[in-house]
Amino acid sequence: MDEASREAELIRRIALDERDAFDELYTRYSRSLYSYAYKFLGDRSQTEEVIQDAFVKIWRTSKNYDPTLSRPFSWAVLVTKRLCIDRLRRRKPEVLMEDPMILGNAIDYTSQERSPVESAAIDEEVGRLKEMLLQLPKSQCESLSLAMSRGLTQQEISDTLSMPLGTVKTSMRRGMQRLKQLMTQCYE
Amino acid sequence: MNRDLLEEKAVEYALGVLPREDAIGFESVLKQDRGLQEIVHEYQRINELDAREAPEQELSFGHFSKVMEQINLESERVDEGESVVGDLAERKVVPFLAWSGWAAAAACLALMFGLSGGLREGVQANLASDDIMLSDLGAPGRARLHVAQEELVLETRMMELADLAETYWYSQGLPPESVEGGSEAPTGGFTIFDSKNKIGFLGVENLPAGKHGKAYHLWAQTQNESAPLRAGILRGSETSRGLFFIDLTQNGAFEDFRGDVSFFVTEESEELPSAPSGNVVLSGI
Repeated sequence: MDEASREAELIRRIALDERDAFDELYTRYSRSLYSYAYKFLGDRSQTEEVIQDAFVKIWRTSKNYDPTLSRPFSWAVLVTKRLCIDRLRRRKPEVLMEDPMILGNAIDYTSQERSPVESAAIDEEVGRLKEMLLQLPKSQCESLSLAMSRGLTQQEISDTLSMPLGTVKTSMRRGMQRLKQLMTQCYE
Repeated sequence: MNRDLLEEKAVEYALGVLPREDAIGFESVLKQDRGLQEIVHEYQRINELDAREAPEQELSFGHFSKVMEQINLESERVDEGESVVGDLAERKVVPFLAWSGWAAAAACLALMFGLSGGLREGVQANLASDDIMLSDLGAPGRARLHVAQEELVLETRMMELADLAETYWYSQGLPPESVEGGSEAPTGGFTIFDSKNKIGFLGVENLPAGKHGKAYHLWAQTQNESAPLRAGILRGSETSRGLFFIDLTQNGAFEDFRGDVSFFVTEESEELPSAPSGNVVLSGI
């Protein structure tokens, strides 16, 4: 059973109110989600609140999780991302932090919750993604980074980059296709 | 949807930026299309890597126990049959038993919760501007409910407001000769609204059945806007009575809104009217 299937099974068990499954999912995801949310909010106290809300939401909405629609970690990331965006939108615009994420320097990532082999594999993939993003044309790289790191909609990206909406749509789609292609080539 | 459009939406969906109204349609296609599922999952995998790339941060000691505490609290509420569980935002209309006598109920709630100023116009000067506001049609006037304004998460505040709204609704009890939607039945309503968090509830009673092609719209008159702003639509066929959730958090028109707000309901033939017509069915709420 691969990681995604194992985690999907945990969510299925959480939906049956199995608390040990929830404990395990918390152990697996909490640090990653916290780090991810902190990148958005830049404030420890608010980030902890958001992560608390995210896990409560995961507990409560696990019955709605559909593995055909979403990978388990993606689902948890999106739950967290939406809460972060809600929190950001309630703040004044000037509080929005600079994007600390776009193609930053490689940062060591270790996770005590995963085996060293799993962590190493994730590190490797993360590093690869950064390299691949750098290979994309600027418009594709920027629009994808804004969507990933700040959760901006295509219209918001269009406004931020002063780029026509149609160009944003095309850039994101081509960028994703290219990333997918590069990922596939890596594993061949 | 053609393939190009689906793939375009697949990117947005995987990144979590596809608007909710589009996502619903997209998901129904996605459930049936394995090829599309593979594409979406592949994009999601890329997005996951981006999420994992964030510099590692440590959660504080005791965070897990806080999460469990909140979960236990919510479970207890469900067990005790307390009102409002689940996602209220998605449960816009809650049918309730009919009753009348808003004024008496308001007075009752005032006693229960210590409403400052009762239901008379005028508010004590020392109250915060972000107190919860209760407005009632049965006893024209408004009152503020002074509450501790600690930083509650929105859903907790939502549940608190729902509890207050239900208490208000039921505080009079069921009248012995309750009027069941007769043409002479008086229309009534109230709002309970938290200005700080921009959420609240609208309760309506004996609202006449909407004419074909028309709908009821809720409008908010704020202090800093000369014209009323549209705050929502009362959908569905059960609009003769109900409790509606008011959520202005995502409404850009209310971004700079501060202070007092009053609400009224109009009947409109347009789906998205920019201004209210003269056909007011409830006001002073």
